[in-house]
Amino acid sequence: MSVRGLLLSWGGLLLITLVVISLASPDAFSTVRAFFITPWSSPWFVGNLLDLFSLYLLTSLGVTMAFVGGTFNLGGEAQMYWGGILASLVLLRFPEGSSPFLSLLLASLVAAGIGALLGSVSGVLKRFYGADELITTFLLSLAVTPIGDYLLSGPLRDPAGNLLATPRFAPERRLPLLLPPSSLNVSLVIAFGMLGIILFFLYRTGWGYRYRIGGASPAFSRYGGNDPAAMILPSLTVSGAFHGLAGFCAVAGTAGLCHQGFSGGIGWTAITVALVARTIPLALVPSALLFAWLKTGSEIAQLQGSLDMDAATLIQALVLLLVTVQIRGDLAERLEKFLKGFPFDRWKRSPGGTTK
Amino acid sequence: MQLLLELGIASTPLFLAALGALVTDCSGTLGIFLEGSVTMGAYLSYVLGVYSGSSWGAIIIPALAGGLVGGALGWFVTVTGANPFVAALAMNMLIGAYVSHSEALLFGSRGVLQDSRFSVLALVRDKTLYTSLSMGFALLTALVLWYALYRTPWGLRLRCSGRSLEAARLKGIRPEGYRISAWAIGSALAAAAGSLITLRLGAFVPGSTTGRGWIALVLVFLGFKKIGGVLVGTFLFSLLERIGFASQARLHIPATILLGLPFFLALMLYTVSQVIQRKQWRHHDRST
Repeated sequence: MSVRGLLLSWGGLLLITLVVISLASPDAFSTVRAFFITPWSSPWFVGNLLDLFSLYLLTSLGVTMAFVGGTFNLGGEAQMYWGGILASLVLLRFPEGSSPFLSLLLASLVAAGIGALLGSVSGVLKRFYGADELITTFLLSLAVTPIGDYLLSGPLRDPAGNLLATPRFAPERRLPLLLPPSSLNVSLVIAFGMLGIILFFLYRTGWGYRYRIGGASPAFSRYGGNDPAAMILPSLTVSGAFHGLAGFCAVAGTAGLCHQGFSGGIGWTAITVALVARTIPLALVPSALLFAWLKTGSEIAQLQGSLDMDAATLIQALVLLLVTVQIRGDLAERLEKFLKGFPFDRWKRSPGGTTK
Repeated sequence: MQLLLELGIASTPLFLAALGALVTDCSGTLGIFLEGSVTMGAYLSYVLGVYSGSSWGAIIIPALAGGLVGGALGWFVTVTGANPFVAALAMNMLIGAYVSHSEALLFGSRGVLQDSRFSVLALVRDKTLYTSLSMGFALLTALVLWYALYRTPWGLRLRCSGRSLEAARLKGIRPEGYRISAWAIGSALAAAAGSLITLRLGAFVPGSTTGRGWIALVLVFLGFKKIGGVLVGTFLFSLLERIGFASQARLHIPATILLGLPFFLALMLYTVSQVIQRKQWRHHDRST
């Protein structure tokens, strides 16, 4: 995938945002300012934006791992939700006086584990029974989410609070904040660490090479003596694990508790982020940042009353609709001519995965 | 008898949506957009019922709008080469955003909508009329669809396009046109299913349509892609769903957990259908 393809996606995203704002807002100028400038106007906004970015990066890594392995995970919402719920259970019930680091480590492993388990169910069903993972990941997500809702409104609920949420975790059992009083925390480091691991795995190991080829071209993979179907289960399992880990980061880092519906929409946004990044792991960074910026900007514009709708959802839907469009024919030729003068090829990835 | 009638009423919208999923499946694609079509039909039915005061308007216009949207999506995917699954997911998201925004704009609130202008509609007031009309319509649709799919050149070409694009092209068939028409019909049926749900409830309840499009997709596999099979599968699904809800009191299952029951059942039934199909294929492979 070329750099120009990525730039077209990101440019299209900004263009759609401007069009939606100018159509939906009575005062387009102040809305554009609230959307694009205000999120960077104070450390508090910047911290919150980067915190959201780290969640988008983790979940979109999960979506990308599924895509690269040749599968599609639509169950990210529930995997993240359950990751957060089980992480909360560990953080609340871990013996008092024990190492906070150990409790956080265990919580993150349990969260990733439940996400992986939920993903692997669909993996097993596809691998051994040919069940379409588009259907099974989504149905499983819808089936288990109400159980999570029940736990948070009943057995795990803080009886002293009015929220449908667990009690707050002890301060030492939360991920350290990086830019107080904003919610930015160590999740950002975790997300970049995971990105590094994935980049190393995919582009520097033989397993990663087989994983990529199995997903991109099953016939070629088979010709090379590999079994592309063997990638189905790992890809959905790893994808689920990333979503579960994001759930851990959301409760132990962002909120400091687990409330009902905390994952609302992040799993779906992650799919758009991954598609806009054309499933290139490194391109997830700017892509996730753009969407975090968009979401924060949309919320600020709504709070200021200059936008009476969830523009972020609308923009996301429009981007999703257009992101896989293949520009063909005359328009493609003209675009090619226009972009020819730019030195994109310098950064173009060679088939082996290294940069020129 | 009463139980059978109740099951019939409950499964009619789902059966219609599943028929929509079957037509879409015949064109060789998974009708992921059906979820959005059901939601759109449910919402438009309420809006038209309130503003036009006509029961017919509350069914026919949402179905036509659904057909238009499904056809437009099919055309968009064909012309632009966009990924049909991603475009369908986007369509579901767009419809969700549109419904939420439009609710606030037209009715000043989001969520459940109830209005006396809707409650007085003939199909909302008269349960007997609703039952006979909805069930009759669903059965008639099934018959027409069976005839169209298995007894007309259009149906043959559609199924041929769905099985092998290349073979269809070699025979001089333009598969894209057949896909667009199948998506339009599928979406229209799903939208009609959504409007029946709203008319039965006498209100627009956003959660009432959640996941129905996905369950409809599963029912196609459960019915082994046959109209009769889909009918039996829908009935079986509704029966199991009812048993599950009825056991709530006896087993003391919390009501919140039961919200996931239809999807859990759908997943179970889908898995069973896939296992059976796998076994049939293996048996077929061995015997040939």
